[in-house]
Formats: sequence, C-alpha cells, structure tokens
Amino acid sequence: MLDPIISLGMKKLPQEHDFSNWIKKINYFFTEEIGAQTSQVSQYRETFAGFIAGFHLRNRNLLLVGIDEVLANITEHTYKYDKKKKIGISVCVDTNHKVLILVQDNGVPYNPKEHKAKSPKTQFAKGADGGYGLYLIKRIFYKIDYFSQKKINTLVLLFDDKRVKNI
Amino acid sequence: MASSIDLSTSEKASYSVVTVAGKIDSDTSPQFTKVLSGLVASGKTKIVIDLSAVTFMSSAGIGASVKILNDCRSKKGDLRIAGIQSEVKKVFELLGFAAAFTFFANVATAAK
Repeated sequence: MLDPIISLGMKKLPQEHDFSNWIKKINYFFTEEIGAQTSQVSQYRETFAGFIAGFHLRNRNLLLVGIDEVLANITEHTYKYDKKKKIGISVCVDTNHKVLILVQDNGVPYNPKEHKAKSPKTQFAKGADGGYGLYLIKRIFYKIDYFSQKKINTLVLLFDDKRVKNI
Repeated sequence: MASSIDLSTSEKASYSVVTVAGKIDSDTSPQFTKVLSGLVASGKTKIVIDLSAVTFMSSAGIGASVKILNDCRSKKGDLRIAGIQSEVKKVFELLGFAAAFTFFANVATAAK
C-alpha cells in the first residue's frame, strides 16, 4: 500500500482514490513542498527532471510540461500568486515507466474532471494567449482523479509513457 | 535554480528575428511576450522567432506565440518559427498547431 508522506497533512488516500495498485513496483519515490510562485514551479520542474533523468521515458518532456501546467494553474488560479500558500507534490515512478503523481493544495477546490478543456482550435482562432493548459493536462496524463477532504484538495495524475494520447 | 531566458533581436531581410535561449514557461513568458509585443507595437509585424536554443516551452509560451501570430496577421504581417527542437514541437503538435504555425529549419530559410 502506497503511503505517501503528504506535506499538507494527509497520511493515507481514501480507498476509492487510491491508485497505488496501478504502480506495480515502486522504483523511486520523492515528495516535495513548494510555494505558490512561478519561480518555484520552474525550480521544482528542474528538480523533477533530475529525479526522472535515470528513467527511459520517451515522452519525458511532455511529462515535464504536464507537471508544469498543473503547478502553474494552482499557483495562478487557486492561490492567485499568494507566496505564503504551499503545494505538496509526491511522485512514484515504477519500473514499467508509469508515474503516479499526487498534488495537494488547500485553496478553493477545482476539480479538472468537472471542467471541459477549451478547444485549442477555438482559442487559436481568437488569438487567445491562454486557455491551453487544461487541454494539455488532459492529453498528457492517462488518468486524472480529484478529491477534497478536510480542506485539502488532492489531484491524482497517472502518467503512462506508452499511452500518451496521439503522439 | 529557476528558469531564465535570454532574448535578443536583430534584422534579417524584411524580418525581425527574435532569438531566444532557455526555457519558456509561466515564469519567463512575460519577458518573451514583452519583446514580441514591443516589436508589433513599433510596426514590425514580420517576425521570425529562433527557438533553436529553447529546450522547454509550456502553454504560457505557446499562448504568447498564438497572440503575437494573430496580432501580426491582423496587420498583414507574419510570424515564423525557426529551428524548433523536436521535443518542443511535440507540445505544439499535441495542441493541434503543427499546421497553424509555419516552421522552418533555421532563421536563414525562415527570413527568405
């Protein structure tokens, strides 16, 4: 049973949101906490890139884009760049190149499963400079889950290097 | 260490060339946008962005590029992308923008 050390306080995941069985054998596990600042998102992405450097992931860069989009969205939309707010991230990498990521915040809940991603084609036609992040997140990750409990929001991201859609 | 980018501009044929080095994300895209918007504001609407030294681009950078492309085209200009690395281009492709932008191997061919 995966028992992530989540910095915001949760010790175990509710059973219906526990995807630890998806990971067959934990090869690498790491947990971090960052502040809600774009500079820290960038810094974490570099740290994350270092952690996964030893794994042969064909879509490694897309995984980095995915985690960057998630953290940037929380920083901008959930926390409104409040530097005092924290984001907890736990990552498990398995031997079959699956990556399980838990991202936690204690802001206003935003369940990406309940929001339809904007069409990039439509955004492009409008010349929009934003509105592409959620679409990328939904394309890059194999499965997304979300729940809020005791004022902690947990986003569960499952990345399967062999099942990135249409790449 | 957080991301940083280096930006420089030059002129080649009838194009303004913006050369970028580093990673374009939510932290650095304001700098990227500022340089490109400055060119458009000064009437330079034929732009080549040299991305050959860009190793990462999130939606923040792509969104900025979409907006500038739109601004350029609305003023009968154009925005071309030169030297994009395959890993960065994958993100454009994932968004379905492989044909929406015009990609060139290098600045020399883009600015012809």
